[in-house]
Amino acid sequence: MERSKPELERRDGFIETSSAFFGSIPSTGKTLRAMIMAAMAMCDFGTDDMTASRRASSPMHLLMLLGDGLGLEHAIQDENSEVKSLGEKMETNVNLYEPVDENTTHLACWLTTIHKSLLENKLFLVVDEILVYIRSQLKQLRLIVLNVDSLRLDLQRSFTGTMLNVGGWFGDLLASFGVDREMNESDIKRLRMLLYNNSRSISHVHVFGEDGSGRSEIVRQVLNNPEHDWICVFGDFLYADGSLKLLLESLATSLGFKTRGDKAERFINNLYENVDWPDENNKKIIIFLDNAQSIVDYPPAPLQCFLESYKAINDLTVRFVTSAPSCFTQYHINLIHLSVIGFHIATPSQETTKCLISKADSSIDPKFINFAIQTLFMYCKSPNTLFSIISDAWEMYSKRVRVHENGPKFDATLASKYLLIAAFCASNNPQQADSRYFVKNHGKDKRSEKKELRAEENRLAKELGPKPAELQRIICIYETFLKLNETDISGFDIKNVIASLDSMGLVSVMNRNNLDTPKIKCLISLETAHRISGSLNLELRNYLEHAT
Amino acid sequence: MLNEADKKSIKENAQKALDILDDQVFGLSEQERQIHNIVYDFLQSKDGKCCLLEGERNCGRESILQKVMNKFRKELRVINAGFVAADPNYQQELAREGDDGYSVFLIRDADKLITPQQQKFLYTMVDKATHYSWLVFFSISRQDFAQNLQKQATSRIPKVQVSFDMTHDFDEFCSTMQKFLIPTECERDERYTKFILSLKLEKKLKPVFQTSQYVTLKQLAAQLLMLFGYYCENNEDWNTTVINKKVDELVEKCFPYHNEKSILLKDQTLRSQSVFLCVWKLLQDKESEGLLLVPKTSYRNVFLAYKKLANNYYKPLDVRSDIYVYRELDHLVTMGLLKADESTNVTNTSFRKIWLHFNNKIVQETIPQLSLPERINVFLDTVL
Repeated sequence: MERSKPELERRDGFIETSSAFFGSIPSTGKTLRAMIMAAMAMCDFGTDDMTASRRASSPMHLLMLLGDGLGLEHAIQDENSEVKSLGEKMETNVNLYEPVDENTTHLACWLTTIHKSLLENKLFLVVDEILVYIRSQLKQLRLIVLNVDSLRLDLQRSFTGTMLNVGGWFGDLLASFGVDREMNESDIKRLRMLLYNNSRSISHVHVFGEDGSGRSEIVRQVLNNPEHDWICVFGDFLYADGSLKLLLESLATSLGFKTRGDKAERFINNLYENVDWPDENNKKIIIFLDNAQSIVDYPPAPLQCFLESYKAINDLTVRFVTSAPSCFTQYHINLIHLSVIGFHIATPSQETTKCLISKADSSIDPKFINFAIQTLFMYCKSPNTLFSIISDAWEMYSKRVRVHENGPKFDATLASKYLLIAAFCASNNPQQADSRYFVKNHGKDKRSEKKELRAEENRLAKELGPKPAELQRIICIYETFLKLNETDISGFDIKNVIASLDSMGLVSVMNRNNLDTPKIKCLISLETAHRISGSLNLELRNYLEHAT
Repeated sequence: MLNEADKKSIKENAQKALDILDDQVFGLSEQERQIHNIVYDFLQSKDGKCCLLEGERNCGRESILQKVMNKFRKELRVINAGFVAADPNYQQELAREGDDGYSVFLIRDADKLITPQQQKFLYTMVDKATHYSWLVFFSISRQDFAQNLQKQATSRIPKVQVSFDMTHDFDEFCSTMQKFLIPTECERDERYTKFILSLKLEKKLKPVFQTSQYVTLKQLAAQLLMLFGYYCENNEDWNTTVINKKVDELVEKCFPYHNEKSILLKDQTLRSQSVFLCVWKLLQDKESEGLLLVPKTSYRNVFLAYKKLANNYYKPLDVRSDIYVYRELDHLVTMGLLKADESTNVTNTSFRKIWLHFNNKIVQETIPQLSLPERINVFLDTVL
């Protein structure tokens, strides 16, 4: 008889095993009307001054919107009494409103538009926090909302694609219209004054700023309109990928000549002789090298010679411009003697971001933009990312689309859960504690107070961390858990399940050269272990020596 | 108040001063006299010799040498020793140098030649200097240059050397800045001179003088002349208040306490700033394990402190998993605000060590400038 093997996908170290905390949308009853009130409150973004001032000063602005939508009177005392008071008033006033079909989808649309923009933009870090925040507020009002946990499952499936898609957004928003009009005008002027300075003492300008602030786009716009008789050429450290030869070849191709050999000094000489200069008596060039954070991949000595070659020829003025998220000494400590002038591009403020998004898509309601940016700016300041999320949310909202998506729920097999909890206990418990926990009392600790204090002192002295445990020990703990829960799982090889967990990255099999006694270390965190044991109806805290 | 003639005069003189700024060298008259004597003796006697030019980087060794060679109308041939150090085949190309009589060479960055194979180039040049009647200048910046030489090079090293020690005081510093802005060609124009003197740069340059070299002063002068010569276009720009404000902005970038990391901290999102402040608070309370060891904490402790901040003080910052805090910590390490243990022994992210990367006092001064919510400030007040 062929044994059935579990087929599990790699989930980057996470297993979503918790059952849904909230049920599906109810069809009748008082709860539905309460949800209608919450949905109606979500549509009102607040127009009077009192609401705006409250929204600016209080972190409970979502509750303010709920209260304003219902027309409830309330006083801001503190968070707990505010929530309680608002909940009570909603309970008493809920019968005054009639259910309207088109309004029932507003709250659902808001949540599902966030979910949809998440799937498209792979920005689970930001959007998931909004879901948690909204749910935590609505939970205190005893409202029933969508099954938010199913959204989280899709987040983790999209996790691996996040980094691949981030680069595609670069420059979309800021390059679609003039950056000069929106950014600080004096900053543009100062940058232009610095880049096109006639003096040769300014040899290296480093432009730094956070990703998403339009750092490289601003430099490109300044260099695309050269002054007087300057020549501007563009290179990329990330494209050349650690090869100075490839970098010089790309620069030479842009300038219209071919390199013979890869020496930096020859490059400057070829630059002097072969380039078609606007003014033969006054030769000036700006070399813009983007993605300077990749400079750590280049060999230090040749790169240092290249960046110092601005004074190789007396009649030639060479100026290097680099662009990176952090300052220049962060990436190349050997070049600390270079007189690099740092220029900082600030992250756009909330007002600037609102103006950018309004110009990019004028069909979006300004109140919608205002509300969304106030909520999202805590987690993400990139205008491109915010524009993607807000435009998707507005499209779903304006069409009143009713979307009830139930994504597939990933679930490990029952044996995998038990084995993972057994491996966690084996990795984090000393061997001496096994008999006390798993043989005699099954989690009930009968140590005296003096022994407990001594164990606490020993715990503080040791270094925290999982330790490798033998396979037989894990199997014994696993069998104990099965007997404890009166569960009978059979018909497969436990070692295959452990191999699957190892391929998923949840455990680490060590000591591979000695196949007789393999050692296994559990890599999941305490929170994950608690969630898995909760789904198994096991009290994990009772079986841990150091239940921190 | 400036009229049209004044503005036109200032613009023209600023453009003229910017054009000749590169050739201005001040404060090195003694070194210039020594080099002048060496070159004069060489041209008179035609005997090959070598000379050391010793000093810090960007202190004007090459500028002075170029200035002296311009006076004698002789070409200075520059060889970058960095290329010799980076490229082993460079010496073979140099061996083909012909004897065209009485050449003057400058070996730039000679202290980069460290290995015995590379130092062959040094005494090859010394031998050729004697044989071909060359004058060779070795430009070095490290003080231990002689100690790193091999035995063959030590015996051949020239005894003649010119030191470029910068021992200027504040008055010389200010007078140099004034000479950069008002060169001799522009001294006759009274309106331009009066305008430059009215800026009162002496008070502004006091912090720049403490740590900066003359190259910073020259860069600052270049930016000021660019501002006056090309970028003051309308009447509003010529207002005295606006002019002084722009000058202050340019000078402020040269201050020694102008910290780029505090600027980057202000750029972060609220969650990143909260994670950073949790690290800072943990390290404030933690004693150092040794006199020379910086206090460190682990990713997991930062997550626990962040959860306490989110649960007790500011609910919107709450996260449901530690991966969010760990990703923010990784981002802060990438930006250079924090430092993390990059050892390959760390198999679990929770126990990775992390510590601050810049001064604790700068963090304290930066916290009031962050626009944090009031309750987070309450959380921080418990330690400040």
